[in-house]
Amino acid sequence: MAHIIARDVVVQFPIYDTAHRSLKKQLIHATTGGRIARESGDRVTVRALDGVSFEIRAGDRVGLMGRNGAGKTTLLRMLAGIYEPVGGALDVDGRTATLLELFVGVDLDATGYENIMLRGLYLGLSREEIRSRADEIAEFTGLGDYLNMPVRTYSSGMQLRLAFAVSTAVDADIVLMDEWLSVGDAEFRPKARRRMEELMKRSSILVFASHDRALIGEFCNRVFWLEQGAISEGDPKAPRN
Amino acid sequence: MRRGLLAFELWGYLGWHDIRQRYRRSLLGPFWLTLSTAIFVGAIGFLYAKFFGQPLARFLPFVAIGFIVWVMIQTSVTEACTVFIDAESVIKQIRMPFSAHVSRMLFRNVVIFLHNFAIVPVVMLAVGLSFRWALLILPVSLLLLAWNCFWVALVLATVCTRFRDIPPIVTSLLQLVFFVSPVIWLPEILGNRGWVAEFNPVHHFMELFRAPALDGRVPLSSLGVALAIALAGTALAFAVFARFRHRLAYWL
Repeated sequence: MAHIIARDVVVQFPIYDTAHRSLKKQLIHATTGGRIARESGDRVTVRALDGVSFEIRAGDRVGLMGRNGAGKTTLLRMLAGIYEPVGGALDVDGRTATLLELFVGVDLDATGYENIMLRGLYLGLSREEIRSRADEIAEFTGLGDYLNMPVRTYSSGMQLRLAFAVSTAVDADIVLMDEWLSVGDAEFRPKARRRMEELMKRSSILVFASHDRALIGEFCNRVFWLEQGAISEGDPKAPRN
Repeated sequence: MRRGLLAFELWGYLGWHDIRQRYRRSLLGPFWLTLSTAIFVGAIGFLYAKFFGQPLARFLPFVAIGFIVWVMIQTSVTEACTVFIDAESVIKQIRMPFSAHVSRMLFRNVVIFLHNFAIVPVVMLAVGLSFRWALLILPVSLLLLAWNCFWVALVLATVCTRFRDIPPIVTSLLQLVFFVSPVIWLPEILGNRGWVAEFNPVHHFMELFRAPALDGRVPLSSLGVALAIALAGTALAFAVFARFRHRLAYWL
């Protein structure tokens, strides 16, 4: 069964300025014992997640809430395996699909179909899987013959449809999602919503960052509040406090 | 790293896609590169054959092969410095094996190498060199060359992500290596300073291709050197990569 277990997980970011980025300065620093190049010494770090523990079991639909910069995206990226925690233990079991940013890996000069392939490969599908899904994806976008044209010629709404269609075509046990549910025009939005719901049904765990209380209340059975690197669990149905 | 190499579907497609993308709007496609390499080789070949008092029939294929191998080494090493930095948006959004980014870059350069290599049979025919059995070793030569480029690229990509002032250093070093390596001059003219070439790995990488084509000889010692460097380098790359892989996303 898919699960996510975190114990006292710490994620912190080193903040590099140009001196830290420089091999020369670092060498001077190392050879002079830090007397000359003192300014390149003390490195600033930011603790994005500070000793966080939680357990997510199969069937859980977790909503993440918190102000901008509270660590929602960092938490999602950590669960996706992009940032490895510097402390604590994290156990993620299951095939993970990361839908953080809709437009990652889109090549504007390539055609719609090529982008379906590119994006699908990035998401970890095999070429065979993508080919078998291409028709379904193409139909969902409703872009028709435009898919043979370079994505550069699309309107932003059309690009969005394409990216959304490919991103949501994955099968995964664990779906990690940053907020982008409210996409597209009036005609596309209900379609997009249905597709999201299908994706959620296929997956066994959903972790979903959003600012929209109503949305979380509707989809999630648990809600995590993030504040200054700490997590507290709340009631998804009730407003905070 | 193993997973990265196994994801050949991914990097193979991406690398090929890069090539198609780059030459989408041109008639000759990647053969533009072949053409420009051919012009360079022709010009240098004619001029330097005179400089060194070498017969053109010997010098032209020598320069052609040397230069094509050099281009492969140079572009791989230069592009290696920015592999992870260029892939930042992907790395921060999707988990995929880091080495797949390196493989993609390398695959792209191997494809370009093969396009460039089309010059070699033409040159060989033009100067009257016929087919020889030793040429069958060339796929092995290419494998060893690509392997060595891979581990160098993996190390450089990792280190350059952390220290952003390394790429310019690498560029100037490459320039130096170009001049001290027998790319456009013959190692024979070194006389009693032949060790300059013997101890230069780049010389051996070029020998992998030159010896079979020019002398019909299997370059056993160069094969050994290239293999030894590849093995040692891979061990080094493994060590560096295993140590710092977890930090890469934070450095971007």
